[in-house]
Amino acid sequence: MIRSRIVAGTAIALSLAALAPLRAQQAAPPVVPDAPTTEDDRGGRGPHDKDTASPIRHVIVIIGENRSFDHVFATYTPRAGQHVSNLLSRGIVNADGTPGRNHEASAQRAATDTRRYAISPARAYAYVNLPPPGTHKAPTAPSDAKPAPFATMEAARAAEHDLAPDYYPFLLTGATGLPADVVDTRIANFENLGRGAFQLTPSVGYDDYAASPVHRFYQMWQQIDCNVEHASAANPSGCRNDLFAWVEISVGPGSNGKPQPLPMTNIATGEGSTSLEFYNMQQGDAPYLKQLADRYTLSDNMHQSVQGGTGANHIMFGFADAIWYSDGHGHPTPPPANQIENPDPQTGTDNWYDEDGYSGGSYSACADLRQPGVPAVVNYLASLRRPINPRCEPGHYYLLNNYNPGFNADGTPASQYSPYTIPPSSVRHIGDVLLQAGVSFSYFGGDWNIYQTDPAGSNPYDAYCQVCNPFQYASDIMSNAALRRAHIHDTDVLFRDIANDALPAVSIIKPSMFGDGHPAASKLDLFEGFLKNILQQLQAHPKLWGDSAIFVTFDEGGGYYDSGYIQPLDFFGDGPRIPLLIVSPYTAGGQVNHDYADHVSIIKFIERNWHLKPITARSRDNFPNPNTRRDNPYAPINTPALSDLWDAFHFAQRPAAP
Amino acid sequence: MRFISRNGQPRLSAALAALAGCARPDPAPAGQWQLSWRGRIGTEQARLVLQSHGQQVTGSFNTPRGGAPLSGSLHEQSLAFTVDFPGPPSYRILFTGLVHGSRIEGEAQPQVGGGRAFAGHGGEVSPDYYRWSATRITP
Repeated sequence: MIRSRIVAGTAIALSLAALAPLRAQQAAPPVVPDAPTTEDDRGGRGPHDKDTASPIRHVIVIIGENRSFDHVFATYTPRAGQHVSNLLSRGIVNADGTPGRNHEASAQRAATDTRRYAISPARAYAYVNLPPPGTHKAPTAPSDAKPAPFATMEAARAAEHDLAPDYYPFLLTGATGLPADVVDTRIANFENLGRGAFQLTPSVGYDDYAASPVHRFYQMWQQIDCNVEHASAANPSGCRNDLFAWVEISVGPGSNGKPQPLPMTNIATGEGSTSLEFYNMQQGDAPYLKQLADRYTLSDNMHQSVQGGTGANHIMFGFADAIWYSDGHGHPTPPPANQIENPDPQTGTDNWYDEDGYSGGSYSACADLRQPGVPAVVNYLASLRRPINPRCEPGHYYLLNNYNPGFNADGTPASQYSPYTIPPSSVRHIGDVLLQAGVSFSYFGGDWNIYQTDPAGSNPYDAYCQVCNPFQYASDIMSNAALRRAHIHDTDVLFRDIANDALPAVSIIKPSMFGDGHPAASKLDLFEGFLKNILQQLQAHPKLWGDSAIFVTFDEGGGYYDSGYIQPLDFFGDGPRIPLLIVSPYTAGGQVNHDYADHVSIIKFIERNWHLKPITARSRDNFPNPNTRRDNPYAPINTPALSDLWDAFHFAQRPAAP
Repeated sequence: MRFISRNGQPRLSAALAALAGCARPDPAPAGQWQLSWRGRIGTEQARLVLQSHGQQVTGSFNTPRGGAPLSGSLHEQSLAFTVDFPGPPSYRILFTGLVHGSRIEGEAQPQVGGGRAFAGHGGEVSPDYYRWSATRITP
């Protein structure tokens, strides 16, 4: 039965490939940069910065970490006349966070997968109560010898410098008081949580650290549980979002090729059902994000662009595509055998992946249906009413999870420090488009200055996210010292540029790992502090504020449950919804935008605003804007489709004051 | 087997071991060592120069980006020393390990700052400490 399904899937996939041939992934052409080499030349003075299709002269993208839309905006209520799709509006929970009349819509089930990886494995049983959530690796106690929370403000301020002043005390608070990898007994009724989404607060404070759910590629395809048999007009992809808890307890963050732990209990991965936690804005959680939503525009249909985690989603943002293992000179080649994903269950286990994890996996040759894990996704895409091309090139092993980018900060090969490094990439990216168009841009990464002297990450203050910078994967940027100096900076340069009204046309801003909001390593209030610091400084410069569009989003949902519609675009995604706030004088009014979007939508906005063409012939920015039925604005009928978010702006209106 | 340390004093532990008839390798760490050190992102190399004065150990920790002084102690085979890296910001790492002849293996733990740098992305989790090892280059 399994074999016949694969063969049938092969036929469908082959016919798809014949009907919709794709041009090979284009390599970036040689770039002849303006080659700024001095501080005075750097940044915001591209010759075509002001050649825009709108009053927007500055696009600023701020990317936090690992929070799904419903996890943060579960109970958000917009102003009168606006509608938001969230746990409250869908009746899954009440305003006080208790189960609503439709709580069953978030109910989780256990499945069983003992022979071959499936994205919608057979049902085993429904939970009466979720497995109790775990602490995983959330910090136990404040310490200056371990990560945040710190014991002293001196250590905290030495480690993190980008928060609004009143947020620094949060670097000292919120430790769990519990060991790692045990049941999180701080959570009220942890043994009687019911079957679906539950409020984390107030038994665990909004300022408290908590566990981080698994958020990896093949795990997330299982978590969202897509099956055409469950497709409907309202949910044409048939994704049910009902395996979040089961995936957490059955495999968690992966095996790294190791045997399953024994005994394999509900807490063996350290997570339990962490993924079903949500915050409650009605009770004061995430106050700054709520304030921005009330004042500007919130998207309730923004998605992580790749299933899984940080690296692949930042790559999709920078390239509008996935990148692949190569010889370092643009030629695809197979990676070492232990770096190829194999999510098939190990013999005698139930869903314990054979090869997956930071030191095992993370490539798949998704054009080859003989590769483990691939048929499950490709067959599903082919089975949809409007079949989706997986967009996988033959012989290309695509990077699916976090591996180091090919370059150190100084342009030397990163592979000298770690075998888990993707070779330098020659795939064309948004930086190439902007360079050739004469539009200035910078990536501002927190702790980049420290990282430049710390390529192996042995400095405990170094919280730079090396997998987050899409340009760090790219040969043309990283092998050119002038381009590195011109386009990659720490946040000190960001604040100096703001102060001098000298921001480049496009700014991509990434906090350090202390302030990025990632659960366990950071907290959402710390990301709010990072965000508030930037927005307040922008608001203090009316000219800059007046022509800026600030996109505040997250890299991915972190493995947290979300109830929203997911549109399959290709083998890689989309994944669950994530928050997106569009902050601009032209988006004021507390509106909710429903246009289907993912990270590439921001790229599409940049391209439309500066009259740019898509990055390559196959990149996702070629997808059209969505058309939808009047009664369902969330599901594009011309799939695959991605909004350019243009309609979230009201350029004809008088720009609003900060 | 060497019983006399650099300052000319008998090494009590080695002498006792010899008296007891144990074939314990010489733990005296003085000399140059090639060190391999695991960090959050990857593994880097350093050159360790150690001098011993009785139980006291001094020397330098040299990476391609510069050197830093170290100080510590040796008790039996147990070696412990701290390195003050200049930063900025400056930070201190405590290295502990066991000397087995021409090889040392142990753990490195930051003493200030972020310490265990929980990477947090995609499920990879850094431990509370990082492993290190060193191989003797010269006596």
